[in-house]
Amino acid sequence: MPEQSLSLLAHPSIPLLVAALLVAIVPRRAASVALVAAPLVTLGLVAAGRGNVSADLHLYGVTLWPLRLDDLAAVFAGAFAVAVLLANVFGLATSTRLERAAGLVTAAAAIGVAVAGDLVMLFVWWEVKAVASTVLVLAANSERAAGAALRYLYLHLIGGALLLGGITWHLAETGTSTFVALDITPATAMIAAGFLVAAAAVPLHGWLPDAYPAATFTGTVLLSAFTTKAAVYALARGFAGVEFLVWVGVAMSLYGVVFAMLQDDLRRLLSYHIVSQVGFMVAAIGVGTTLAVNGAAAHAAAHIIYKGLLLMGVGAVIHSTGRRSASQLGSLAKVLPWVLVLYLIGAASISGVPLLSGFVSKELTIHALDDSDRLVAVVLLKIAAVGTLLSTLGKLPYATWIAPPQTGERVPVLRRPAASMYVAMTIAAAVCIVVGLVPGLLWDQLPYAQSYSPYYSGKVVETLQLLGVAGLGFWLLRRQLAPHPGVVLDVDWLAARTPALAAPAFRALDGAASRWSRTATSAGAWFAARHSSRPAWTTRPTWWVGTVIVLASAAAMIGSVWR
Amino acid sequence: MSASTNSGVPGVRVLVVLAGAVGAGVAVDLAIGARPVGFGAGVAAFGVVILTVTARGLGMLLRRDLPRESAGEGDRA
Repeated sequence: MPEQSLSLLAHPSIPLLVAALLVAIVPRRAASVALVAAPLVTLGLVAAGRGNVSADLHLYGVTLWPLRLDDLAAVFAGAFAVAVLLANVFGLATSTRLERAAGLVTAAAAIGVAVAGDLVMLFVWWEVKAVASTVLVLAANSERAAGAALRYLYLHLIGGALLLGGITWHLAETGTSTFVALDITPATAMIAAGFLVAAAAVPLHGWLPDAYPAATFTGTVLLSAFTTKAAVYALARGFAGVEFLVWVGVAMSLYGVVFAMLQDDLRRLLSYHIVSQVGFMVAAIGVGTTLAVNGAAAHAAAHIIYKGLLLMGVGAVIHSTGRRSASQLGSLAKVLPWVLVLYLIGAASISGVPLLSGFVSKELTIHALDDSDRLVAVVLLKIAAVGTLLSTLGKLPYATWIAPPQTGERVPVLRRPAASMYVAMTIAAAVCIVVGLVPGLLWDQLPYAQSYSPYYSGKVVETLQLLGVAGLGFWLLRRQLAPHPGVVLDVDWLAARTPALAAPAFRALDGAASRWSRTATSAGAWFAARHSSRPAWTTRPTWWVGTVIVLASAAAMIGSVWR
Repeated sequence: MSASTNSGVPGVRVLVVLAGAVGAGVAVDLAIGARPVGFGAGVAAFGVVILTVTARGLGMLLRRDLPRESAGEGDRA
């Protein structure tokens, strides 16, 4: 452990939690100040505390490290702080109190995960993040959001249960909960499985393209930054070098781009690209060298910014037109030209166009795989990069801004994007460009020293060839790649039906638990009813009783192990 | 000659143009001495074809009509 010099009051999650409280109670204008100031204070705390840890705590004989700001934690915590800052600025004109508070708590919890020095603290923040991000989905206040939020919560409770089971088992076996690189045992395999659920590893990814598009457009920007990247951090910390992850990551990268090409909903398309891009990171973690972990961390940080920019771009379109499907849009270049320009910077970045952040981080990641002689994985990731270009730089902007609407009617622009939306998108675009031009700025934040530069003639020519031929392919096949109305079945079909399958069990739990948890049940039902347009699954006490039972079981398990 | 067949599989014209692009990539690599020769262009051409065919095939198998209530109509975006 590094030097123990940090006070717990310097925990970077604290300003965000205080701000969450403030935005819930103070007038909107004052809340706006807190929305911007809190992430900046958090960023300052991360920068100031880097390289240090807090004093340890002893609880029931277990040593806890509530705050560990080493280099790996700092790069993720810093990226999370920037992400919540951009999302808050983007939503200044439109977001509700509930969204704002839930977004801040989600960000605080993600940072808590990154800086937790032990698995028990990590689990606590992990579950706070799951609940807060569920509320963030619910804040869209629609039936679709209520259903998606329920499925999101359900899958993350399963992931949380796996994580908790693994942690308690590991604690019983080893007597320590310190979160360092873990050897693979049955207990740590359960922990890894919990992380992989949150990383949206195929086939456990269905919650992501289901829930993210169901949130408000600001909520989607927030959600895109935290859950999967916190899981990437956790995998990098605990499971770097596990070969299985290389192929999990490659599968994610290809599966994500293929399903993205099939989507009509703008945010669902981009959600599948989160699965794909996280696949690059997971593959690098599987390699496990210092260069590969650097690649995963760099790609996560770059991805948080350019994916936020992409989702802000389509969010501005949804805000302006009220339409969320590419097949219902078209010819918006003349009415929303700057949104197009800013979106294209994000799209070029995720596609790996030189001089942008996605190029340098993706090439570092792929170079790490190449450096470890995994040529097949490198070729498959390059194919995934082709698919990324086809849909994010080709299909989506072409259908939304360039091609005439499929409906044959002019797309009405109901309102213009707010100035704060342009400010947030411009800052994100600037970060993409600056990091692409001066990759050393990003390299300096990474956990290990390195000197790799993707700017040499062979790499640039290879990349330009790849992008040029892929662009040519898109242009030749643009009509075949045009969006089609409808939904494309995925594993979310199963997730959507799981509550019905599980209903009898939860009804039994509800009956047994109602005698001792009426208060929690009533509060949960009230909350769900308050934030749902009509009663849905979330308004049923069964789910809230189920949640209480899971948490109570968790406390009992931890207590029994510690005794 | 159409760009693709009715099933969405890239047609002859697309394949010819992509092959030409790969040839150009090989020529550039040979000219500047880059290795492996034609890697970027080759992977891109293969990727475009294989991803398009896969996506079109999966689309035909898995696409369903969208219920109106799920289309986002009336939802607060």
